[in-house]
Amino acid sequence: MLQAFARRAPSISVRARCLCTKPPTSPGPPEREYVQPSTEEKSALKILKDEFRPLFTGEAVGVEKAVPRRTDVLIIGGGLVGTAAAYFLKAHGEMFDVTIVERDYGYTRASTMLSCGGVRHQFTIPENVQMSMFTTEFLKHYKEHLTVLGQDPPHVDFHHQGYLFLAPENRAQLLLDCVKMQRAQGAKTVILSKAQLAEKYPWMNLDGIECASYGTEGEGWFDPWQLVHALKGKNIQLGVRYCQGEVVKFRYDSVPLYTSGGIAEKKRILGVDVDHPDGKRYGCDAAVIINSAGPWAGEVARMAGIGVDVFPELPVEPRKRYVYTIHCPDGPTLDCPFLIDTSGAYIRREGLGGNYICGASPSEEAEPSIANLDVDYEFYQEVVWPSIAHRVPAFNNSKLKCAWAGYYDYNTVDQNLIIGSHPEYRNFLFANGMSGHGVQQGLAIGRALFEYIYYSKYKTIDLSMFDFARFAERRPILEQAIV
Amino acid sequence: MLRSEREGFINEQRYIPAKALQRGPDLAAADMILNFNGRVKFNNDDVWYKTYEKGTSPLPQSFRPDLKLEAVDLADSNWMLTGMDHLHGCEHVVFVSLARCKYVTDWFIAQLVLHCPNLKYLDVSGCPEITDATMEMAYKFRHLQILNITDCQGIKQGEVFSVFLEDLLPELIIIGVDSLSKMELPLHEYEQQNSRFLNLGMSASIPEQIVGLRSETSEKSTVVNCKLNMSDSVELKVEPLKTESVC
Repeated sequence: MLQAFARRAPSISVRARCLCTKPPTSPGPPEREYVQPSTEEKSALKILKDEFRPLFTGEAVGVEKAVPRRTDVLIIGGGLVGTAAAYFLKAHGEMFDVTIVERDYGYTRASTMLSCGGVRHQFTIPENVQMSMFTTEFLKHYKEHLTVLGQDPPHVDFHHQGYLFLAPENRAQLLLDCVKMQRAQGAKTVILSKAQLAEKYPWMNLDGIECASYGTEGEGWFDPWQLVHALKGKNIQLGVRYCQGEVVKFRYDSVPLYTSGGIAEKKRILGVDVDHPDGKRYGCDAAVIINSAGPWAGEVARMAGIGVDVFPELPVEPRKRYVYTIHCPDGPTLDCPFLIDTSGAYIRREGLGGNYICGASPSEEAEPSIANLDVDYEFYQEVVWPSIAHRVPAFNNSKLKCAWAGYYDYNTVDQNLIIGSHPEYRNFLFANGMSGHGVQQGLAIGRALFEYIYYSKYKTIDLSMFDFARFAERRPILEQAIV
Repeated sequence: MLRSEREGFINEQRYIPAKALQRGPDLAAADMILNFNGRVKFNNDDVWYKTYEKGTSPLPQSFRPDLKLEAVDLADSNWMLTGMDHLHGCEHVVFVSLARCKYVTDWFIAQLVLHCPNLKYLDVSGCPEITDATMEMAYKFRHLQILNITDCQGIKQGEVFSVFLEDLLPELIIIGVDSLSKMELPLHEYEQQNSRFLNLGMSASIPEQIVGLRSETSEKSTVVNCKLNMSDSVELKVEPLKTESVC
């Protein structure tokens, strides 16, 4: 009897489909079959049919849909920030149903994989310092947090070399104040005078340098790919659902708002539509949506109507940055820290074979186009190489080996994190705009998002000053030590 | 080791500043070390102090400004990262042995660099979690004379690091590494093939005028970013993604 019902239902819909003919339109993107989310009605018949389908088709267990019809927390973007948020949500709040939607499992353009992986405590804002220190603390005990029973233990190599910020005379006082603030937060940074620099780093040219600040403990660099790999393994064990797909649309619900002027309609985000590679478009409802799309967070926000229906917009855009690999046979070996020059160029050692990774931030006027990830070698010849060759004379004898480019998720207003919920769409959370510090702050941001969702306030690090409302209220928070 | 036991150790080894203030950092540190079956030596005589069999401690109970901690022997103990905080202020320590401690990682050595820069003898033999980062940090001990890394499975490039350390610290003797075997490839090419960072850029095309600077034996990029296979089971398989061009 059930079989009769099951066979009849599809034939009705086929007939109905033939009856409604659509007028011919210009060829657009191919029509995708829409899989309904949970708010759309699903008749009792359909539910029964879905439950008994494995019996009739001979499958052992029911196959879950590629993208779930509903979930508690939907995380858009599977880079370090999204993965860390999912980890903290599942590890400490086990009742959440967490789904991560990532459109590119190969991570070919993900900023996490293309970053140099440096961690520094030397910022000018106390909360930034605390966030990096949280990352260091996590990496100290990552094996305890991220080991999965029955698999090889995770492996994250951390190189404890420290960052060295060089300062000319006119910025020496600023550096001293910053170091004082960092030490008050618990970071172990010290000021090195010119004489101490000459003794510790004899290969450096100290022309124009007054002093420098060096991080003695907890600063260095690591490979973010290893960390994301470990987090992902742990997430899968904890039950986080990973879906491959691209978010194309947000769906809304209207709630009546009783105001003095009458009844207004207030929109509320219900969920998203996700285009899956298998050709279907899935509707997914979510209680909370986290925007951790990195450089493309502005696009996702515009899709949600932020910047289109409600203002202000999310001021995050991708900015291309180049990283060059050079080889120098007689450069500094073990004692090369992550050197940040006064001109903004940076350089660090990679391995022991005389390879170094360097780069610089271009000035505002000379921002490269973000259309693709092609590398501009002129920038190296004109901006990066003169700075590093002046600072470390051994690099006069260096050769450019290769280069790559990646995107910063650049916050155009104040280059600092944007976190917390949108004032109108309160279930849409931001985790964007780290402007190059995403790898350092990602774990702390994940933890903060978990606390915001679970406790409704920040407990470990108070990040309420980085909320989205600061753009409407015009109180930008400027970070001066950006590399 | 059970997780609760490990957390118990972390709790017991917590640094309490009041104790250090009362007895001085050297004696407070020595007290904690003796609690965990360690041995200490001070600068006034050549005796290794250890807890008596009945459980009492041989150390003086009040502050003694003349007693400075010189040597710490924590072999085969359950020393934790929080325990390293006790060495804050013990700058006269010259001998540290952490042999066969299973919880010792590179972060322990980073703390040692911070607290005891005058170290002359460091023994981390038999510690499974020690990796190459320890060798990278070893040059920061300017007076280091002996470094023992026998049986450290985590150290993969010990010979190469020893060569560099001998350059920076001429008096250093490293126990536990063989002499550098002859490599078929120069080191920078060997690392080029095995490092993810150095291979990230291979996929970018380099214009003609700089092509001559690349090594002749450059190959097509093999590992750029690894694709993580998704499956319902807990098993995670990682395969390198062979790409011709990125994005």
